[in-house]
Amino acid sequence: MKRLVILTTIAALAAAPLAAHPHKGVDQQVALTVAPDHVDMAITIVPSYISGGDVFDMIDANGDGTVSDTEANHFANDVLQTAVLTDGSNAQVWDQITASVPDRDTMAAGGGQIIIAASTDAKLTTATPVQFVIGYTEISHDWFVQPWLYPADFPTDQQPSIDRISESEITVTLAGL
Amino acid sequence: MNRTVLGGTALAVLGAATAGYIALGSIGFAQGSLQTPAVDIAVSDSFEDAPTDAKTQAIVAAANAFLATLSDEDRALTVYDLTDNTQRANWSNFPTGPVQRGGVMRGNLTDDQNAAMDALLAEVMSAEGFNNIKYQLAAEETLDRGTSGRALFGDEYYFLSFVGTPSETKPWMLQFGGHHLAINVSFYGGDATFLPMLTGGEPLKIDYDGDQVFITEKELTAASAFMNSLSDDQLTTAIRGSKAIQLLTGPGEYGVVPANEGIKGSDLSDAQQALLLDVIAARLGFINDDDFAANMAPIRATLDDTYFGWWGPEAPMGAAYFRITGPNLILEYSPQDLDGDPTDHAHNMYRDPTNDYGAVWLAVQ
Repeated sequence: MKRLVILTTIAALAAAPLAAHPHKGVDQQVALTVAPDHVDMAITIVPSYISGGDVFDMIDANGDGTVSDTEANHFANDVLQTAVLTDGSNAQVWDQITASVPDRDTMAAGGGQIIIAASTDAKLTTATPVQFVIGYTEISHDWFVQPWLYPADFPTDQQPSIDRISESEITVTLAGL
Repeated sequence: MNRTVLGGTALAVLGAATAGYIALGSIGFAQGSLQTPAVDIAVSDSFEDAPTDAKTQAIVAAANAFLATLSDEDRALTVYDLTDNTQRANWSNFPTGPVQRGGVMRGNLTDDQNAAMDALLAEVMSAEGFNNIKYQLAAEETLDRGTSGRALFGDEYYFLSFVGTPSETKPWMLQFGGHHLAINVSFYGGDATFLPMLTGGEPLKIDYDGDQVFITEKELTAASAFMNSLSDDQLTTAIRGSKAIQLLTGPGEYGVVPANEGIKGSDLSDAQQALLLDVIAARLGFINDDDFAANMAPIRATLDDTYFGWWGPEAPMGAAYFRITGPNLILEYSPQDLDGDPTDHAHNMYRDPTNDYGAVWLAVQ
């Protein structure tokens, strides 16, 4: 059972550069920070100024112009259902989940970032590659998944290898943990 | 007068600008402020004197000459405490307005004061690095200032500040920047790091004193030469995606690094390694000659463990994202496809994850 803890505002995450300019296209990015004993995930969705209003309305299910915690929770859960991290044959469970949805005006201007963050306490080993795939397509089919590391966890001669299966699927093979 | 408070709200607002921005009126970004958050860097409360050198002495002299042109009030605005981790990280790709920078602003200074600032920057940077600053400010002047919104475009909205007092032997930092440009140079005695450095800008193709200048042409040409040297198998390894991706290590990033991807230095021939070094040197060549060699040395020493990854088309030049990562290096070239020509707009970063902001020196007891 996933535990959803929705915060209406959260601190800036690794997605800050995505907000570089008003977006004429949709940007969807997953920052996957890999550590030996956990994986942190930050999903950032920046709708375009063309689609931003519609995206907000989709999340604002009751149409009252405000995204409630329940509505944000529901949206985050929909996205997270498609964000699957597998260590060997074990699908990891996301925890410590937060979600943030900007107001409608911001979204309609193409500058709003929807941010969903979650973590999992996976005990990663070198025995099995870590696979991650995200398949949420309601806003756009395009994703970019970026693995990040804490340098101290991975010495120069023990760098993980990254295999990009597709734009929405990667495999991280660890070495020397 | 110069620590501008240009709007006062946390919401980022871009006005009706063109040539790089889509005219949208007021736009609120994200969940609050675009202001870059403070970094978490431990700063020692005392430092041993570090050996200095002639270059640092010349830079400190130029810094003091600049400070001497300022009023007491402006001097106080320019020099921050060495422990100020908020100002240390106060740079951005965004224009002034959506973000508020510290220090003194060119537009508030006299011609003599700006000449002293230029003399300092010319001492800190190489000739190419100083030219790059001039080109980026000239490019900024081509942007439509618009009549609404609070994004402020123009070469007057560039700021200079110091974190710590300029010193030949103790740590301090020089910051210069504005829209699309951030020069952060940390000194400790004769050592200097130029991290993080944001360059690129828009437009990249400008007319400067009657010459047509493509601001990032040198590094793009070097990157093309490197890519052209790769075999088909090597290209398969180096090319990571068919579309350019967004900048990863911009303002606000500190402490984590993107995983290495692409072709590894140890899998390159000597000639290909030399071409890869050319790409790196094209960016780091903005550093003055004295400090350039010292900053390139660890990169050369770890080239076998350095990776080059490419996302996007191989042509036209400048339309693809590329990234070079190694033990002492993160270098990104990130085209921005906002106005139909991604080759005319780029956000480019240079970092060293082992010593961004001179953090190693600041922690020295």
